[in-house]
Amino acid sequence: MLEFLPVYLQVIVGGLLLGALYALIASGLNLIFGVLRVINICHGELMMLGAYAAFGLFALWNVHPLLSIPVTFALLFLLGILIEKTLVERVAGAPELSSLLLTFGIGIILTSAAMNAFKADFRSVPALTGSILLWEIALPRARLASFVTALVITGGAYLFLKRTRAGKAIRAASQNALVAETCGIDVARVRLFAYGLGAGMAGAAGNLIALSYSFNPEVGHVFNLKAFAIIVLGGMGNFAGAFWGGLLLGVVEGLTGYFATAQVVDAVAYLLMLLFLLFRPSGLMGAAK
Amino acid sequence: MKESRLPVALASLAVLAALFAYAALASPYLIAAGFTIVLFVTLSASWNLVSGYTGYVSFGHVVFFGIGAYTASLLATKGGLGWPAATLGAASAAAVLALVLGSITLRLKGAYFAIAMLGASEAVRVAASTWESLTGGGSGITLPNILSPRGAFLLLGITALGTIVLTYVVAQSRFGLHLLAIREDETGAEAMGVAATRAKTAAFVLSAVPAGIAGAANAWHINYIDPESTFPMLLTIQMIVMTMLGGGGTVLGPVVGALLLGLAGEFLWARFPFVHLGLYGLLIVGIVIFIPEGLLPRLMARGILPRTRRL
Amino acid sequence: MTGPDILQVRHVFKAFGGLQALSDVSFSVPRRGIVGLIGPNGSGKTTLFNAVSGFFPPDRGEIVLDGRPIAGRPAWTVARRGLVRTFQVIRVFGQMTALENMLVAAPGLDARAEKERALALLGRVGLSRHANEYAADFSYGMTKLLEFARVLMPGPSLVLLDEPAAGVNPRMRETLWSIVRESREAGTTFVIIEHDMNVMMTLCERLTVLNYGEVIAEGAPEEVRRNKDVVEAYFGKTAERAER
Repeated sequence: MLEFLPVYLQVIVGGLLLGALYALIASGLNLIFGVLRVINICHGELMMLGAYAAFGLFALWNVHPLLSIPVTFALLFLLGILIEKTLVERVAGAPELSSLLLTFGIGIILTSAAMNAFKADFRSVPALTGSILLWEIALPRARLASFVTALVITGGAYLFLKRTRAGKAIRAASQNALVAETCGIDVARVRLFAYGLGAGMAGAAGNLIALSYSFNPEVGHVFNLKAFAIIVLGGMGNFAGAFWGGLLLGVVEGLTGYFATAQVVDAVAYLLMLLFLLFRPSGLMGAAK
Repeated sequence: MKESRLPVALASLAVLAALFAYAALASPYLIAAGFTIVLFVTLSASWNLVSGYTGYVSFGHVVFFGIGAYTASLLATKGGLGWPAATLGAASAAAVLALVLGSITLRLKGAYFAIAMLGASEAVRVAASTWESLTGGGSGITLPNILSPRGAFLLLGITALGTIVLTYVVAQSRFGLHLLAIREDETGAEAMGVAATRAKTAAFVLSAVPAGIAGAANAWHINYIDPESTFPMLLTIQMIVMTMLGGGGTVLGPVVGALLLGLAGEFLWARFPFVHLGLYGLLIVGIVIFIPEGLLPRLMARGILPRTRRL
Repeated sequence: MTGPDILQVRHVFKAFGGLQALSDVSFSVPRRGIVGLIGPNGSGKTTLFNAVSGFFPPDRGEIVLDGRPIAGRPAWTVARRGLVRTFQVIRVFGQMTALENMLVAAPGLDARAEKERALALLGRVGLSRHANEYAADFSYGMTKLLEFARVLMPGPSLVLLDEPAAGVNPRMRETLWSIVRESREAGTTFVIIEHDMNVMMTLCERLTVLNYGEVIAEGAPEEVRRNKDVVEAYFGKTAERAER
């Protein structure tokens, strides 16, 4: 039995490495949901655009994906602001299904645009290769770097929300928009900013995807469902919940991949999501009201 | 509210006659084109029965199309059944799956239901590609040629007509009013004695049956199925867009949407598959922002069409 | 099997988190009576309505409608047994016509009889001309009237009204109360939450007073008016407010 321990550890560590990436994507989705009450079902597509931005910068000027994160973050932040201002804001106050369908449509447009621009071929950015061995566990350097970077960005966003004035305004608006408004917070601007921030985080996650996985324009779709599953696991609108939910899903997927086939892995997120929706709708950490 | 049903009966007979004439006379190319159109009409009308009337928007309705395709194919290949029995089997399988899935997912509201259905359809697709001993996995199932393209067109055409007539009957009934009441305010409806869970589950099962038959007809039509082509996300997107464009919760809204977009797709867009998808995305965004209620309800509100549940 | 009381609530408890919303509430409603439920804001009136009409089960206690226990039964079965209610926040079906709103609550007669009944009730509250208009296009007062008409549609034996007159113009209010009296003569029982004490004093034969989730007084309006606890908990406050 004991000789299998390193294998399990390897599987769990692998899951954690991926889980941090999930956590980054899902925290952005949850941030948007918390403030705007919009399930941003084009979140995976924003991430996909980030991955292509990183790919382009690497292919054209040989910029390392870890170094181009600020650039993709800024690009996606601006795109997010554009989307929020011109589209999402127009269905503010409409039934939640309007914004769900709207962002669903935006996602389809982005996928289709990427298909036309970049074709359906899988791409990757081999900027960081090889593994380091820690005890008997192999850690691919690209995934390790992604893991650390994802933790830093998620942690940074968390500190930003906790410590800064703007972050506090965001949290106030996500607790209760009406009360925040009466406290002198410009909620419309907070919504805009929160969407931009969420989109920027998705873009940064795209860089990490590009660094450690291969991707094509359809990669966003899978991540949409997983990110949504994660925020259900962690608690809708709960930033920290998304973080733990991401790590949890990464590990569970890793173990599933080890004990069952790789194809079943994708179904795990949906099944976990269904179970939580039915039996613990407030998630692990409690949903924001 | 029960008014004369004669005009509807006559119109149905006329459509039926037209379907037979088309099946007999049209060229193979036109049969294939016609098949796509009746496929869209059937699927949109079936999606409308649950999502348009109860407001439970499903992002995974294609699961019933897929289960129908697989059931029909397996009954025909491994069970050795003829197409009528295999088609019936497909309809039953879709109904049973709807009953099981619905009893779980219909407890969820709004966006949660929508995404749970998306997850459920993806999970069933994964199951179809994983369970290789039964489904052949990713390599799919090749079917014997047991129903001609003309036969498959007619089968699906009649299913489309049947779905519309079913919608008409539901819309005129107490059951239909209950579904609309659930869409408007489920809690309020329950306070008035509407058995909401029962009603929406019934609508869900009713809506799954035509989709299951469509899956079977499609399998007869192309003689081959695999997980990617029987659970395509695009098909769910098309059902949603077509119904939303014409107007959900109306009898003819999904028909109008399916005809408009189906014909446009057949003759204009089919050559540009990637742009095709993007156009659906643009349409969703445009509809949500500019005509969220759909064309028919908009025309009714303008007084151009009479405001009635019969349209 | 049917006693003199159409509704009996016995020792009902309900807590939300740490808050005891209903605490050992017992009261009964005589058949064909008009009972008023009063108490300060947050005293548990609407919570009691919700528990009785099946919107959530009580933590403990019995609720008996017409000799049959209904505690914990879902709302729609309670409604089909003849107990229907209105809501403080209006709940009409916006994208349906007034007539369709009525027919949702229909008792299950043949279609023509139902339609006649619905139109007659709509006429009674002055909405005849608007029968085929969407409820979403109605003013607030009109929707309150529609909701009131709709609650009578199934021919209920017991009706719970949660502030039915709020937002309705004064003349229509009088009509509303007279419909309550007439329906009572026809055999319907009413329990009413209403803030206008003058109305409650003249309309109701009995008042039940809640405060902090407990019944603090019960009886004829005059008795209740003289009850010291009530004066303190309820009238005292309004008197104070009036002085300011």
